[in-house]
Amino acid sequence: MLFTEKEREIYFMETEIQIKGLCKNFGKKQALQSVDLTIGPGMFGLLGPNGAGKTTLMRVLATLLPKSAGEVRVCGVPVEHAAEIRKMTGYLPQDFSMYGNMSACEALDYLAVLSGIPKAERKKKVPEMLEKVNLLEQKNIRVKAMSGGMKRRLGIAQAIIHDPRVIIVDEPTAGLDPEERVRFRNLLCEIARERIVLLSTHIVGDIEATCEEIAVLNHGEVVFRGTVESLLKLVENKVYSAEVSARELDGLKERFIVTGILNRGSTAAVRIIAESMPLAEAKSCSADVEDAYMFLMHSISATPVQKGSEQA
Amino acid sequence: MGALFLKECRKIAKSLVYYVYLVAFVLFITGQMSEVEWVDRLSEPQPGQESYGYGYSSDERVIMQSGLETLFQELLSNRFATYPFGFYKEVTLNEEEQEVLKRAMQQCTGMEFEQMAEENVAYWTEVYRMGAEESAAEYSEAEMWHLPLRENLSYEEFEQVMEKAYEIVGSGSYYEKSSYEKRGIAALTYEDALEHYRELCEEDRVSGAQMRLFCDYACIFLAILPIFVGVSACLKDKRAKAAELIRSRSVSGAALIGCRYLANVVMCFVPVLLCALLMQMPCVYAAGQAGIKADVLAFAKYSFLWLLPVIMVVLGAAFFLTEATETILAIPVLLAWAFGSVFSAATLTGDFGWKLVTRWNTFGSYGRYAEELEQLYRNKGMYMALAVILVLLTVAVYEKKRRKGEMLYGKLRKNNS
Repeated sequence: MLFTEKEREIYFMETEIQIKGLCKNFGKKQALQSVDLTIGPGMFGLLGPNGAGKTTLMRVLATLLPKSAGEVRVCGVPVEHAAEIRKMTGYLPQDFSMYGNMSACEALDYLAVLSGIPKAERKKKVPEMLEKVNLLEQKNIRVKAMSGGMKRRLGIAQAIIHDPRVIIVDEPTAGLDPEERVRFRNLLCEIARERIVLLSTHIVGDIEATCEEIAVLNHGEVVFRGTVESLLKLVENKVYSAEVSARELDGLKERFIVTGILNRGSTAAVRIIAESMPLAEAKSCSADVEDAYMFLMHSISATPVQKGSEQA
Repeated sequence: MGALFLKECRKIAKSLVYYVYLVAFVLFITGQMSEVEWVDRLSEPQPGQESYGYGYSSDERVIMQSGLETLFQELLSNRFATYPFGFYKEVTLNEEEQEVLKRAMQQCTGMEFEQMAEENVAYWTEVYRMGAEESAAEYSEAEMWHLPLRENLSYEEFEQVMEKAYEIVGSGSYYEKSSYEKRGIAALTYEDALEHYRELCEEDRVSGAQMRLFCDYACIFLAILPIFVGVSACLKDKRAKAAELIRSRSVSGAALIGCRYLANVVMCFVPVLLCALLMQMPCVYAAGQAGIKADVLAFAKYSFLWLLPVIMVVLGAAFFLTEATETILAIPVLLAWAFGSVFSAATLTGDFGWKLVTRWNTFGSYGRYAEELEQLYRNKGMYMALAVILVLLTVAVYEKKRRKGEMLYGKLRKNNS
């Protein structure tokens, strides 16, 4: 689906998720604390450790959980209008599964019926979507016989079959082998050209490979909101590599953030994040998102969160 | 809606539980509806026959005999069967209460209670002496021991005794007027038998009587078997770990639950209807051979009236309890309801009340059925209405869980974010 600039402007006019002061409590536990986010078209990455509140946020957006406080609008529609939100969102839950005795084709068709797609359209769209996710040849394979990767691909097909403007994808690459993961990420990028794809993950590599815009959640709070580049800026000139003796490793780990260790017998090649040159023999090297994420998480656990222009 | 309904039907047709339901139902019903000697059943009674069988009678003398003999037997063992709220409860009387009823019986028979007991024991001792209890069946009616009633015993006197017994034994006992008046059993006379035959040919048109008998057996199974189909259907999303995914679709809870429920009702009812049709065929054929025009639609009339409401309410309750608790709690609860209803039946013919399992374990007796038809309509209408209410409640529970992400009783979903 290719748009002219004008069509794109009209189509994406309201293609935005606005979250203001969102709180979600489970009893006394605060799963989300005053979350503010604006998410526009394209891939948006939601990063954070396990238990950070990513799935809770996704469930709130997918109308599967009510918010405790705040305001959430999906493409201009308040999240309280669940029926309308469901029409415009596609959701791929963390542990996507369907009835084991249904074939890929049947499962997709059933979910398309649940999205109110008429028969004639389903007849066209089901094979189209299966082809898109490279499952057409395996359309008769039963869900219970599918590999993890095949299931996720079926999951993405069901999430886009009703042509939603927002796709919510929760930890889609967990448990996939590297090849499947890359294939799946590419697929997400492809479909994000036309809509918002909100990708939640704790796998930094997924974010690095697919997202321009990201937010980092920790203990229910947004601790960073910005572009991948701005996240990388946090560790600019702070990443070093060095060859150290194995005996020095423990000391290094105590003093610095060590993001990589490659053992080479009595020595080890290490990757260190430090404010200044950590060792005389260390060499400055280019930072990646994982370094930046580790630095961010380390700094917020060491000190209260510094809210700056980029850090939320 | 139509597409979703068909998809739900297909889902059920692929489930193992449904096949177990089908096989169990067919086996049960064919086992119960054994082969019938249609020639005997459809032959007109002739004067001078040795016996015309037994039947319910509205003759006051017969009602008095049956009522007092029941009181005598229960008093003798001091075990009184009662069915308060439809469930069986045994009542035992203290000596003072027993004495009151024994005196009442003495008034009706003119004999000491102990003397009656001795005669009864002597009769049964003789029966056992003859070898086995079955030999009692060989006794002709004249040889059977009956409680000797006073010649001039009036119906009013009898009613007073029954009222006294009802006061002492309690509600749900045999001694309620509505109960004992319908249970007078007596040997049929030629005229009675002829009237029964006329009813069978003209009112029931043979197949009606056969279908009531079919409904009697089928009703028992249908109070039990659909429980499993319903619970399985409701837990399918959870078992497949697809509940959250399905809740996120745009389909409304009413459409989803409504289609699922309807699909279950149809898939449970269609085989019953087919079985009824098949079981009716020999009957229609035999009636045709005997020159009687059978009612070919009786299978549908009786199945829709008698069995569909049972399937509806059982599935409705199974849906509601399963959706509300996300457990198999519906199985023990509904099994208790079904078995309670079956075992609480004080009679196997009629007396429908508000029982889930409505019995008619006899071939014919249209006259009595016609008298109780209104009660049957009320019963079935109430259960259909209850089924609709349960489905609406299920929709409400589903929508609540969908929006709140929690169980009905407030348990929070595991937050694995």
